[in-house]
Amino acid sequence: MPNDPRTDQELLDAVRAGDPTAFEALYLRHRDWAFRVARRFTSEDARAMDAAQESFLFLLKRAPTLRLTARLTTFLYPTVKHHALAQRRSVDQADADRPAEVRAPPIHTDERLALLESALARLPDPQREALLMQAVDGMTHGEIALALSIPLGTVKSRIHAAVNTLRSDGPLRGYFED
Amino acid sequence: MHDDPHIPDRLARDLGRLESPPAWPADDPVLVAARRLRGRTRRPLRVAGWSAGLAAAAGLAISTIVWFHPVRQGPAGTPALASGPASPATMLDAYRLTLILDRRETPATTWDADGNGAIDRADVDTLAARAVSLGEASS
Repeated sequence: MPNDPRTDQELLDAVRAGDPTAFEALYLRHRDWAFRVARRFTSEDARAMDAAQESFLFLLKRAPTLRLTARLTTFLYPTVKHHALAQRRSVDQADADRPAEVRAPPIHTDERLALLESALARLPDPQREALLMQAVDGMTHGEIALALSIPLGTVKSRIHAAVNTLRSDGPLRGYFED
Repeated sequence: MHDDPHIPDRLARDLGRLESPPAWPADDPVLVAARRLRGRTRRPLRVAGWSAGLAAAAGLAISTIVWFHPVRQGPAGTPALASGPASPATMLDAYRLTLILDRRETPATTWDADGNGAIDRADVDTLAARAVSLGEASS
């Protein structure tokens, strides 16, 4: 089932037709993506997992009437982001009720990855978001514009700005040399 | 207009390596919900089978009662299901309609339980099925 050959649209059609395995196939295909997206907005893996799962439970409710006009990931992105931000708000509220503590950054043994992660964290949120949507999620600029409800030109300028910032970061310059 | 920004392949690959997928739990609630739904898609068929069986048995029982115990006084003028086919029915309604039909009386239009414009034995079956409904139709 994880390697179901049907497209997302075909699986959604199958869900509508009552195929009980189709939704599981959709979920197994996309849950890692949903987790990755959610993790960008939450500070904990468990919260990101919750947000990803809530997004698919939302999709499960909508599936019988849903007609895709874009890729499923483009359709789901705002939902995942919404649930992830809700998770973060609940964590922030809980943190406010606890004594302050320094959150340890993730540790990468690979020095280059650690530098990249650090540089990524310094990017403004909108730039980092658009960069990761293209570079990691493989979304086109049009899909990013649709998912974020922003103009295409804004998508491109955000990614340009992010790439230029990384390029000007001394230790990361190697990524941009042929 | 902006040119399409270029992200070097090696940078894209390393950005992807920063985001490793989690170990999903075996009792993942989404899979549990999907499997529960899977179970539910089969359930109405079983319920329909039970309902049909119960309705047939109820219909037979009503016919037998009417056959051996004909009621001589006139039928009640207004059925309990006066508000239409979707309203709740009791076995008594099915029984009363059977009496009306057996006496060849003209039933009120409110007895049209299946909503097809004709009042006949099918309406008795519909009422009986509704009376023995286990309530799953709305789930």
